[in-house]
Amino acid sequence: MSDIQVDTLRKEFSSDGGPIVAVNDVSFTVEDGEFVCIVGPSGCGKTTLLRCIAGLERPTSGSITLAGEEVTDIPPQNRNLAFVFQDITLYPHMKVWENISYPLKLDGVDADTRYERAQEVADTIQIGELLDMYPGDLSGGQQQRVAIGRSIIRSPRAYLLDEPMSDLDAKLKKEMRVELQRIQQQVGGTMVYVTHDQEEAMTLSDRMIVMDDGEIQQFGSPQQVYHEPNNVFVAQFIGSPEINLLSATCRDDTGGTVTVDDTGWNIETGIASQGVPENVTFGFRPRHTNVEPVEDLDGLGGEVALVEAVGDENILYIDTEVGEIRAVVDIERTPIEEGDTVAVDVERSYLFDGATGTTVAHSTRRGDQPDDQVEA
Amino acid sequence: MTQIVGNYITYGQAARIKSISYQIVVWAALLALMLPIIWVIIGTFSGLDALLAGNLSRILGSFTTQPLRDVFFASNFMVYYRNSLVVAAGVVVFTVVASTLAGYGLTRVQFRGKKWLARFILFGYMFPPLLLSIPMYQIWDQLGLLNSLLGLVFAESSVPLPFGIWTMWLFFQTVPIDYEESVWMAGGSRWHSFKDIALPQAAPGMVAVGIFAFQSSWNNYTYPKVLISQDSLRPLTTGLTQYAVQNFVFWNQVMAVVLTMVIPAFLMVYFLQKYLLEGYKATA
Repeated sequence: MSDIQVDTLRKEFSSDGGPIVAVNDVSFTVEDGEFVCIVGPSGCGKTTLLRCIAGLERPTSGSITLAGEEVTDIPPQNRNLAFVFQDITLYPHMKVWENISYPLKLDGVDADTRYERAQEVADTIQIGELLDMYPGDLSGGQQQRVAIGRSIIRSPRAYLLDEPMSDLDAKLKKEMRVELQRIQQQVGGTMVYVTHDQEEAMTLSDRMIVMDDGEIQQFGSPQQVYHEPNNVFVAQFIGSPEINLLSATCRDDTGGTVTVDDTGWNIETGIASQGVPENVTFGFRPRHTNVEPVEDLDGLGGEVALVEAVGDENILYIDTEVGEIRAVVDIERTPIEEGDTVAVDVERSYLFDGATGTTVAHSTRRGDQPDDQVEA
Repeated sequence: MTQIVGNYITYGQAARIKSISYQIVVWAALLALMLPIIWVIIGTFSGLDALLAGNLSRILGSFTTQPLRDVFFASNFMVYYRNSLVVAAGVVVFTVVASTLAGYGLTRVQFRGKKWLARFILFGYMFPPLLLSIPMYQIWDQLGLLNSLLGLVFAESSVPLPFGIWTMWLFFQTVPIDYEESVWMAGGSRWHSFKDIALPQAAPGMVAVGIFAFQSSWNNYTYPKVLISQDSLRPLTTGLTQYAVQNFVFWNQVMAVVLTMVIPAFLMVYFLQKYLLEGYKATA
């Protein structure tokens, strides 16, 4: 097992319209035994980054170091990494045990030993009874397990997983997530997991890398990324329902009060910072609100256009003068129906630079206690 | 118009009439297509006089195995047959190996002018074999490959090879690259990923190419005609002409040879038709 250091890694692809930068001088370190998710929208360069670490793509510049060994120019065969591909890549003409033990076959291990080792691994991942079947006879989740089995049989230096669960249905995804965490604890490995699903990243990671446009937007624990986003992109990408963003003006540079543009709404943010620019984007998460029905609206709020029930919560879509905002309320404590006029009180606010999108200030968590869980 | 079905006959009867008339059409078409083969079978077991007289009842009455015995024991037939089999086997092996390697290379290896090369390969089809056989004769002469079965194998391979390369190229494109990449990640070389993963998945394509190469060589007349003059090296196609002497043709013996010639091709297509169809599906 080993740590992975990526230093100013750059990958360009040539195209008719000049080079396309897929990964733009990215640097980070994944610690030994850490579970890191790389998350971002499609086309952000996350898969290319992973393939560079694997050695399947040659970086344009920069370096990759595994456990202190520089591997940038070493072919994938000699890196001793495991890679689980998006379409699972089980070999259809080989039985499950042959698939799992294929890496050992490449090492010249004889068939009997391979079968025994495959049996051990299969027991670990709870598919011991499927060894003599063909991949075509297995369900999606079972195929997933076989692919994971093949990756752990050789005790690689690290595991790289490229959206391995994107083809599974929602329920199976949740099961496999738990399973993957169990396996990671059991075999204890460094894992780098690429996904476009922020919920998956939030639940799996020790730390997560949020990527956009070939660059790392933020690298931190799920808590950090959720509560202290570096910029508008991270705030928007992480968390569901999506954060509310309103362009606003800040009269004094402490950020204590902002005025939402095109309205007379002055909102107390609870922020006491300094050097806040005049032109800001005011953000608040749908969960960090108090919603109350009112007769006469004076301030942030509007008419409830749609109520979406998710479990014992309601997601409210509220039509305001400055567009739609979203709020999450408890179904029993705050019974609100479509057509009601509601006032929205913001509990926790974020201020982003109106021009660059960088976070300039956010209100501290109330009492700085782990109040509500990270909801994805 | 009066409605017949429902009034005069039942729907069940109508369905039966329909099914029977379909069968009649199918059998009639089949009979028309099989007529040459049937005629060959009849001819093989007929006396030469009766056959030449052209009277069907006399022909059918003259049943004899003499033509078969003449062909098998009193002619060079066995030598021709062996030559045909040897050459066909050579063409199959050479074509399948060459087109598999070329197809893999075209799919997986990036090099300049790849598309241009792939299209150029198909140009080989545009020249009639007879046109190619003239320069071929001169080149083979220089190489000492005239009157040699090896030379014939190379010459006849030129016919199925463009199709074979094209087919295998398309077949390897259906094997996703990440299957091979997963082999490389597990520590395997490109040879491993080719042999263990790409090849088994492209096997139906190889069978299709093999069948095509076999029938192409088996039926090839032009190249043996031009390149082989020694009687003991003739394959069946040109050997068949030896049953015509001066102004006379031993038709019943010709038929007997044709019958034995059809059998391997028939067996091959019958047992491997599944793969053949898959091969054509990929190229379509």
